[in-house]
Amino acid sequence: MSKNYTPKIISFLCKWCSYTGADLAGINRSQYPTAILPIKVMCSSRVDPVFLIKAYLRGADGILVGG
Amino acid sequence: MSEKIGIYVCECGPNIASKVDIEKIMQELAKLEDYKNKELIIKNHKLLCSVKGKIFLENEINENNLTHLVCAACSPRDHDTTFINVCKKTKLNPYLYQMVNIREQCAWIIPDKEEATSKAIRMIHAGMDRVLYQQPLEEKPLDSNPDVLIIGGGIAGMEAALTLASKNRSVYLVEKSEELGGKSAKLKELLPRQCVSLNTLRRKKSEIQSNRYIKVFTNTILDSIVGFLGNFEIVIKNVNGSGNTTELLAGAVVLATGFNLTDVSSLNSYNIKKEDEVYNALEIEEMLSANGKITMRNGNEPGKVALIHCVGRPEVGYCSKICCDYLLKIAKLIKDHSPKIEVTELYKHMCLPNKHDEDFYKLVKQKGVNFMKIKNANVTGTTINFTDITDAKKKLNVDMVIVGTAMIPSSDTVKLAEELKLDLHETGFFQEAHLKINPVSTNTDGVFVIGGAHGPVGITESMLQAQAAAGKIFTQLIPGQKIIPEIKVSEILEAYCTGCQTCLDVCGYGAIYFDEDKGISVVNEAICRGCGNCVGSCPSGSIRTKHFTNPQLYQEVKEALR
Repeated sequence: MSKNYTPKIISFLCKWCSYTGADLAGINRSQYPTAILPIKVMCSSRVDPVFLIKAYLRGADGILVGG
Repeated sequence: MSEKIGIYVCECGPNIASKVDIEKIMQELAKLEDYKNKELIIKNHKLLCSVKGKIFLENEINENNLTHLVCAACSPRDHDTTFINVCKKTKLNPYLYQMVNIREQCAWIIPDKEEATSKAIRMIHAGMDRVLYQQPLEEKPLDSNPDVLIIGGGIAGMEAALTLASKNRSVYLVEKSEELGGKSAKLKELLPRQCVSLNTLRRKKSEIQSNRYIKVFTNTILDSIVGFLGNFEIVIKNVNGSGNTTELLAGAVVLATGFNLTDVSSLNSYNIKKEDEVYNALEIEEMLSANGKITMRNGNEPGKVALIHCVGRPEVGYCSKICCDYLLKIAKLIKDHSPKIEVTELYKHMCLPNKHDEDFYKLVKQKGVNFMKIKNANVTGTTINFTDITDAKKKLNVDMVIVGTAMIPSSDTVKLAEELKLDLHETGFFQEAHLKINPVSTNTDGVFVIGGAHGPVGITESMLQAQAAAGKIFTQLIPGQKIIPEIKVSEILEAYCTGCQTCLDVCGYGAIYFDEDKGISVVNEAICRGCGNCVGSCPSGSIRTKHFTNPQLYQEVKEALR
């Protein structure tokens, strides 16, 4: 694995809470790794387990469901 | 017509431009020429949300005949609506546009410019691919009914009814007891000027009775309700023997179901029997209103009276806000009538939040009322064993005890919450949509909560909330104006639905019903909020949420991972 390897973490973020929280982190100029790739959903309950399997098959290194 | 995607990168002044390399993004995107056989228009702009930016975007859409639009800018929470409104001015359907948040969730959280730039490019790719899978959606305006149902005819419900009726709104005022007025009808005097409450209330009651826009139903409760903002179908039931039901239509519902007082005999620190001279504040107010003086059960005047604050507060876990005020008022009323009665107030905290309270407190002290700060008290009959603030254990024998008990939700709160799909706060009162920025609305559009049903409030706050709810209704339900429900809702594909009804159980809004004839579940689009909970639960995969479909989300995930 190369030294500069950046993992890819698909993050399903609920529009009402965690997506808003991620916005707040930005507004506060907090820092978190580039690895986080946000995907907005209307509610974390929308995240079908199949999404996780598909994301892993496509090469995700981790998945975060925020809700 | 060939498909043309417009990709516009906003610099947000220096906000994005100083943190990501706009040049690099443009170069990388330019390499995508002939992207999936689509024509790409790629441009950057200093500030897309500015007046000039919006005109620029509008012209770009029109001149290039864009079929899809991607704006890489700030959070959609800031300017999604701005760009949707730009699309609405053009031929481009606003649901063929996608916003990519390269400010809050990229530029502002990554200190390294190179890393931020590569993440921004990745996010824009994901947005571009998602937008290709988006479908045009059309808003479906619905007729709305401007009439209002108010449940609870206390001071809050009456004020809301009068405010709404003052602008010719038809109001149905439903009260479960036989008379309007609620708890405040029992009060002897009102703080701080001691005006006689009955006169004020009588005036309101007669105004309501003579108002042709207000229809009052006493001895009546809510039987059932279905619907949504602008279109509620309501059945009310007479509880006075007949059990007659009446069907009503309304556009909004105001809950003004009031509060109850904690039953003092249910508290561990109170060992009292029914015949003991222990009264709550409302019982005292009723006594004062009826004969103007305080008497014991044997008809004699008490020699010594103790008033205890914060009764039940530790048990319920919150301050009821108005009890210190009204116990001061009762002490004053007793002293005004019989100055020789010895009055002692035992308090843990003196909660005096209103601007007139301090003066009133001084006035009551001047009347000769004793105040004693205590840590806790145990009451057996009319004997009070208490610990004062020096930790000394003391005993006080009196002829009468008056308790300032905690306000609790009224008994029908849970049933109403279930009927209307409302959340309850952990204290058991109705939960407001947002304590600060949306304090009288609830999580169900078109349903408002005011007065004691909202939490412990006095008359002033009840009036404020009633007027606020009326104001909300005036702005949300305008006679003759159609309402536009959420467009990104779930839909059930008839051909695939097996009628298992799993979705009915998981829907938190009650937006899905079962069509017995067809044997399938159906979404009421006006109630659905598009959360997609049903989509994940559907075993046959027959539900999709518009604008958040599986292909759209898969595509976004796939490109984000490329």
